[in-house]
Amino acid sequence: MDTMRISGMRDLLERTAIDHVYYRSYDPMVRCVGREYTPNRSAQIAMLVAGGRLTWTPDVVQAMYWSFNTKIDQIWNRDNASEIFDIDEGDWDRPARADLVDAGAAPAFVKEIEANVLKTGNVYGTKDAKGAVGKADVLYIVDDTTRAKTPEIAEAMKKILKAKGVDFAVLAKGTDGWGLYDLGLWTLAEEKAREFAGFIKESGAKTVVANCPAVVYALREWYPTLGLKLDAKVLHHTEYLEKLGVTGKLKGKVTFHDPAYLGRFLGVFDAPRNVLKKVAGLELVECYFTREKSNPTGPLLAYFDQGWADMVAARRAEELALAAPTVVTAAPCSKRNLAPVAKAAGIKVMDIAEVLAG
Amino acid sequence: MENSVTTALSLDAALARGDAIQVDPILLNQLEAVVGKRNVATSIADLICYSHDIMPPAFKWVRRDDLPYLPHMVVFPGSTADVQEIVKIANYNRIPVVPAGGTSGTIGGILAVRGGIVIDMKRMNRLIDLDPYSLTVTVQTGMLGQDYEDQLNMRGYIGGHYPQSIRCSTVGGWIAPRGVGTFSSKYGKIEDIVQSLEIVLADGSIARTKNYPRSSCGPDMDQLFIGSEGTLGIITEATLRIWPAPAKRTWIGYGMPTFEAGVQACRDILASGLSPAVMRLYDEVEVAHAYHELGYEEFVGKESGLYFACEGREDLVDLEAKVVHEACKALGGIERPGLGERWWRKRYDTGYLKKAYMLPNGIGDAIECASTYKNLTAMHDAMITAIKAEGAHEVFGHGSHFYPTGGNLYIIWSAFAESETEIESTYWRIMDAAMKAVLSVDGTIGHHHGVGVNKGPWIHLDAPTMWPVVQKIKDALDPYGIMNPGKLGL
Repeated sequence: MDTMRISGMRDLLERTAIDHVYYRSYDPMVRCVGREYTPNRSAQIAMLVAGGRLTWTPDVVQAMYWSFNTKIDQIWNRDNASEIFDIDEGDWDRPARADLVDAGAAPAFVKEIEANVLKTGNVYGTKDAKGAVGKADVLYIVDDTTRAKTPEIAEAMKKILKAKGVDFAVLAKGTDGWGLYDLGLWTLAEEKAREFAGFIKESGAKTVVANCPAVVYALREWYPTLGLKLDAKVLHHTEYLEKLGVTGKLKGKVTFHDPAYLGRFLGVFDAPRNVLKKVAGLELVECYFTREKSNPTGPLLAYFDQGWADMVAARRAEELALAAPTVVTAAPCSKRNLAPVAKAAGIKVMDIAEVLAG
Repeated sequence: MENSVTTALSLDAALARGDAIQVDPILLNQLEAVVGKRNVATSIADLICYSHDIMPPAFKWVRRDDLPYLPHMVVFPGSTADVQEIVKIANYNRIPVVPAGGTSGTIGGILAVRGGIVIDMKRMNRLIDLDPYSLTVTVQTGMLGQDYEDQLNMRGYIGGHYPQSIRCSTVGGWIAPRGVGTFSSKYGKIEDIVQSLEIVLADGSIARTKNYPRSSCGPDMDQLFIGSEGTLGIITEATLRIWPAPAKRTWIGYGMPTFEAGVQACRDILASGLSPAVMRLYDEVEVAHAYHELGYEEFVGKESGLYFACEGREDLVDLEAKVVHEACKALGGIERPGLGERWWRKRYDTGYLKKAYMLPNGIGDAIECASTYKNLTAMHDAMITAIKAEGAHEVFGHGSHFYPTGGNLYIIWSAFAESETEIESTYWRIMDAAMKAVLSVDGTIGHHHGVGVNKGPWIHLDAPTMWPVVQKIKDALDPYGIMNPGKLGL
């Protein structure tokens, strides 16, 4: 017990557990699923584990994965102005997940991801590209979610880059590691991050572009904490496309869904909008919950209950549908999460690269 | 489920049963047949989620890893029909049912003090109908408060009900304890906003009231269930008044020479027939926090702070603002801009009390009560005196809701017990002194938090001749006492 990371986090856990939870109306598990599965309650459960009252039984383990760690709770709880409640639940639930993984109690969906990575190098267990990464000024990262779930985004990006005459190479293997870290697979996460950084360095690129904002976050914010320095500027594709001055055509009203990692984690709100404003025939309509208050579409990676994940996506799709029939987003996970519920909500979902590629 | 279901399940008792809480398999099957397997929960993690609300002593239970009131199981109904069937099963088996919304109540209303089944209403979160011509909306009562307001705002309307808990409470949680929003002087308390209800009674039958503005067809049955805290039935749907989004909002702040002058200003404004949406009066101790922040240090300790929000049609707002200025100035008020805007910015800040809970041996509360204008200042003084006499570290207060005949008071206190084990006795000793102080000046011990277990010991003193009537109604509607037992002093 004493070696657990959360054993040294009593104050943080207590503060979370006694928080007045002013984010509850926007917590996806409460708002969309209708359950009292808040970080506030998981912190209480983590305290009981840290104190030796509970052990990592399956339901206790599941409680550590209730939060999608999208920072939406943090945004709303900011209004509960007292500094003692300015808490990012990821600061303790990620260590708690690492603790339970260390204790051999990882849930099945985490074990499956771990097995996939060990077998194929990526989280979905799909076949990765072989061979060395090509050398170019620009390295375009096709992350594992894009490769497995939304390959059309990569195709659109490559089409745009070619049309603009960009000298680029493609990195379409391995995994950046952040998703593994989020799930508690810390040792594997760091190992894969080091490998991924090696792939990037191999390209010799001065600019790294990724259409997954979580990858951008990992490279910009997390890698330095691991001592991994990249000799390249890391940009999300919306930032790069804005810089390239790419334009396109799309007739009608669209609304933009701000992915959590692009908006709340990286603070990038204007780049996608600036790009969309230059698309001929397109009318950008903001939805009610927009920018930093954009509600999540679901989890970054797999989740222990797909039905609940779909309920979260369905609720977001309903909100977006009130604004426009076409939803543009800028993360493979957002597109993946919204896809199964789009028809019922009456919306069409596109990545910004697909809009520009025509 | 074992026969001891009518006693609370403590964490120790739950852990002694092992990870999978052993429950009566027949009962479990019956409930799963109603709501589906995934909507019945018996795991320890689920039970912990419903172990407390935000009643102050509960925070100490959390800090001590001591959870005395776990339910035996939690069910998540998706419809009124589900609630009906769950309650029928519970009634047949004589098992307590405890309805839960946002679990943000301050009075222990969701504590499963006799164990049993918690019915989490939050899956019932749909907007059923919006009538823009009649200005009413019908929703399932598990809808979260802020979600309710957002749904209306997206369509150009407002709900007019903005409790501090709006982001962590449900519509049902507003109605069950007869709650209030911060804009109550204009839009009313929840009992003024509700137009009709659907209720599942203890025998599983449904009672509905019709959606009409007023009626003379017998007693107002909505009012029987509003404030009944789940003890008479479970409110599953509600039709509420809504308003078009206001065109203008103006904030006005004043320093008043005394608390009493502030009370009189509120009384005079409402007597004129106008109703500013927000009317808040802070005593000279509590307003000091705002005065320091706003650069009014030289007036700290010398003034009470009074501020207003007027909202609605532009010309009416301007007229209301004119009357407010006149009333405050006539009583010696000096304009103090920024007071209201500051409160609006910080309206969700609960740091003061939470810091008290986090300190060793610390405890505190914000006690709300009400009286007519005649007794309001006396009630403020009586409560401050009584709580101080019990050794409170700090006591101050404000009035946050005013009506034509009187208003409420919030008396906020913090105290330190001799030791962690003395915290609860300290808390209840101060509560007793405060409640008796309210009753000594003919006030009512609760304005909008409800009664729950928190004020149960004094409710019979608050309404000595009427509470036996409430008990008779309870006995008639819930002969086996399964509906949220231990609350409302019933």
